[in-house]
Amino acid sequence: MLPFERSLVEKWKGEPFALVGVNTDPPKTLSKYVKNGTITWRNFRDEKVGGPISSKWDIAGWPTIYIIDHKGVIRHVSQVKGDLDMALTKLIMEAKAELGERK
Amino acid sequence: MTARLAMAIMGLAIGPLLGGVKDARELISKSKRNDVEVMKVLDLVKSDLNEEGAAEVIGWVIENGFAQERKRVGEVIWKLPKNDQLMLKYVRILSFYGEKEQLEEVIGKLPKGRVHQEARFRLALTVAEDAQRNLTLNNAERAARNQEAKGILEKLEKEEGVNEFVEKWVADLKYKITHLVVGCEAPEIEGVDSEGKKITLSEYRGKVVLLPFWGMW
Repeated sequence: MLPFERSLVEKWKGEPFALVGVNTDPPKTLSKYVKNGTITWRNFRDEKVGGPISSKWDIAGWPTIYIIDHKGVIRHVSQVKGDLDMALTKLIMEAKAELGERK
Repeated sequence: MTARLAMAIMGLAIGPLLGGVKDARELISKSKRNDVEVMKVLDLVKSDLNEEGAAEVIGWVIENGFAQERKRVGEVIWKLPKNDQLMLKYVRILSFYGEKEQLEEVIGKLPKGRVHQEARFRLALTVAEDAQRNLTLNNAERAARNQEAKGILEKLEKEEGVNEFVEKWVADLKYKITHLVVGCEAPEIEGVDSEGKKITLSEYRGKVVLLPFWGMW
């Protein structure tokens, strides 16, 4: 999971894209892996499985991955990473086209 | 020997009539739970559902049967003395397997009350799950299913005397299909990051956000 996520951060650098996790590890574990460079993206601290954010989002399977478009609309929900890259590519192109038009 | 053979042949021909809870239990104890056996167990008890233990046997059929057996249970379950526990089991299993038509049929026959309420919640759940998981649906079909589920939930919401658990499930599922499925505006998240700094989801507006709920564990 982690190398895949790091590769996404690399791949979409400079594009209208952000990887933002909701992390359920204890805060100490999370900051340790951020400091040593294992985790290269920002995370909400949810502190445990079934933490307040995961509960509010009714997360039942782990990991659950949401993709939210540039307008803030949920566009994809998945528990596997197989189809993420394609979905992301489509949505980033869409965002660029629309954001470009407005300039 | 000849007499036993004759009995066996007779048993095959009119087996269901000779059956009963005792025979059904015996078959269950040896059963490999394939569809032929499950149907046979059902056949053994269905002629006299007032016999003691019949509900328990039907419960086993509900748990171990396949679509066809579940459909047959739907034909006979009404002949049993009133049994909410068994009816709930039936309704939950139908919902679990996504058997919408069967569930609707049960709802049409159930008297008002706790089971009827839960059955309608389960129907909404079945429809909502289909909207989310069925990959053959296009966006319009997905939205229509979500709308259908929402309609069932809103009707339940307005009713008096709904069981408190059902009431809570209804509210949770409605929140989910109104805010957390594809096409909804993502609810705001406010929290702190690994450094304890404030972070919100909305500060990423204008970017495509990949939002995994995850952990190293």
